[in-house]
Amino acid sequence: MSPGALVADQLERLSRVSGQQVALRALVGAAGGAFPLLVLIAGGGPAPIRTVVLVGFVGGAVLLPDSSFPLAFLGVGVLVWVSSVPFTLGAVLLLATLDLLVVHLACTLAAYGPPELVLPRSLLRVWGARAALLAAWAVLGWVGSRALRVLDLQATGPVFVVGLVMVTLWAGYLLLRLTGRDGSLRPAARR
Amino acid sequence: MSSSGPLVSSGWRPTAALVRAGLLSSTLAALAAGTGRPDLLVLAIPFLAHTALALSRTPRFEPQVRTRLGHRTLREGEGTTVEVVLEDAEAVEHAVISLDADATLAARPASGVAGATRAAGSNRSAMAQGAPLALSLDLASLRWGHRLVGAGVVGGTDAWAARRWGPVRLAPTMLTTLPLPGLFDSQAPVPHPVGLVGQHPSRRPGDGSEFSGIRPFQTGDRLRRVHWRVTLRTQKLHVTSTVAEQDSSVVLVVDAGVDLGVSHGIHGSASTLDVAVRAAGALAEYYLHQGDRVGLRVLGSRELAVPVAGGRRHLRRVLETLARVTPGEGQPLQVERLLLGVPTGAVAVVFSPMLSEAVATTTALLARSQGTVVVADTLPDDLRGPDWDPVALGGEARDRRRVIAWRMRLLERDQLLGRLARAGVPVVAWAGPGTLDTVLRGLAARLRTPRAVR
Repeated sequence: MSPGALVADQLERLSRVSGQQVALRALVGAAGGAFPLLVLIAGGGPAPIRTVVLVGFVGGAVLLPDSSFPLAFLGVGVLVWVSSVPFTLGAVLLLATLDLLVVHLACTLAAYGPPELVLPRSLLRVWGARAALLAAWAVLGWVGSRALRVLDLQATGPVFVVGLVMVTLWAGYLLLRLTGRDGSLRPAARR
Repeated sequence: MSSSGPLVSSGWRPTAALVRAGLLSSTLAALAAGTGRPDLLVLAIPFLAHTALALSRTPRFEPQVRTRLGHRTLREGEGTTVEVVLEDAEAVEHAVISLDADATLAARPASGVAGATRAAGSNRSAMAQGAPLALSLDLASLRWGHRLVGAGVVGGTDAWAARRWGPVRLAPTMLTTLPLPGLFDSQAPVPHPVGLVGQHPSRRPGDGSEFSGIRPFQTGDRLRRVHWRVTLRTQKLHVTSTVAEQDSSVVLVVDAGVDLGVSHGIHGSASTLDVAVRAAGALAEYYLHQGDRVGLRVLGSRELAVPVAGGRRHLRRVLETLARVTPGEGQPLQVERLLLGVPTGAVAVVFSPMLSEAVATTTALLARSQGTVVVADTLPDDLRGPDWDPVALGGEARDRRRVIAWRMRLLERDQLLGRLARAGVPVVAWAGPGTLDTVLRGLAARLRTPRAVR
């Protein structure tokens, strides 16, 4: 498909989006647009190029939530946070975490089907509970980090090694699970 | 319900959401471990939790798809339901179908996209038992015809939007849409009834309901026919006589060699073939209800013909044959077969825009051999006049070349109509109820007129 045809196809798809999709994509845009602001509040300092890149990826995620744009936005956002924001465990960290979670979940819901799809309320309720669970985990992690900070526990060599081993194991497990295909035909269906 | 065979997908694949959560969680965790910054671990936690919860379940089986169509035969404007059933779909939390766009179908929802979920609490027990997941979409057929419907795709997503199955092509099912006969009514009798029973009064006495006169009793007369007043007055048995009622044969000839104009279904503009098919259906319905016998011939399409017969089942047969008409197949006209198929004494009604010399010649030959032929002109009004819109023929507005070409075509058509008129074939523009009244009365009067025999 030529680039022109691709753009026309995407515009045609956008012309058919449902009201629910508009709301989800607006949420992606709002939460994504708020992230550079949170970086600024967290002490990242003004950086027009960085902001433009982030906003560009947010725009891509709004238009194509089922593409790699959301991953690009979140990845660049995380790199921006790592590179420009000084270490902090303040409330802005929790806000930034929840903000990225909102972008991720809104893109997940918007990518459930074609733009015309309206998700049933029961599914939205389930996802509301899931979002609350994930947010609760984030709050717990933030509170735990602050508690450990208060206790002033120093990261020693063995802790660092254990952390790296856990991360490596996790990454290896993900590699296996994400590259394979699950499910097979039920034996009766094969016949 | 009709059903098609199962289709099988090529497996479950991770969604973009799972890949995103997995990559972010591992990257952030690695950065946190590498830089010793716990704030990055806080950023990673929700993505880590999502990934872990999403990977806690693994779909065991691939769903199998069955498509069911509520009805195989509809009338124009009527609706049915396309039901897609996913079997072995324990892992599917939400499924979605998206039907291909089709101008002859109207879907509800209008987008042709519908979803179904197991996320509701009441269905959790059924989910555990592996009950099939059903999705349905209402469809209305807007144009007559014999078409495959239900083509599209179906896909499913498991819990936590971790994996996606499909999209898988849906197997379409054949749907026959019968033409919705237009309104038709006629006050004129068919010129020469030929059968034994029916509703058309004939010229000879016999069993019927229309009063003819009172005459002396003859052997064989029924007692309930005795007219007692006249009998008492004359002291001789008298009976009431009636006129015999007969049926007639009507052969509908549809010109499918050309289909002009843009068809927008039953609620929109009609092409010439739309007008012809619906008008033929209207005449078939009317005359079969009258007790007459009706036959059908299709010119220029496949070898479609229905022999002359009567009854309600025959109406269905005629309408089903009309639904199978395919415009512009370019089949050569077989005049001999057409002539053989029209019984003597039958009235032939030719539905045509009369744009083909072959059809005009066939009609003239039919009139010469069978006698009673009427042409119902199916060219829509918006294509007749000098100020017609090229858009009506699928062209662009102000397309001058198309305008000139169409004017030349109309001039040729006028010549063909003139030839038909000289051959004694009446041509009347189709206008629904009463269209044929004047023509049929004229034909009946012409048949009653004594003719010189040399």
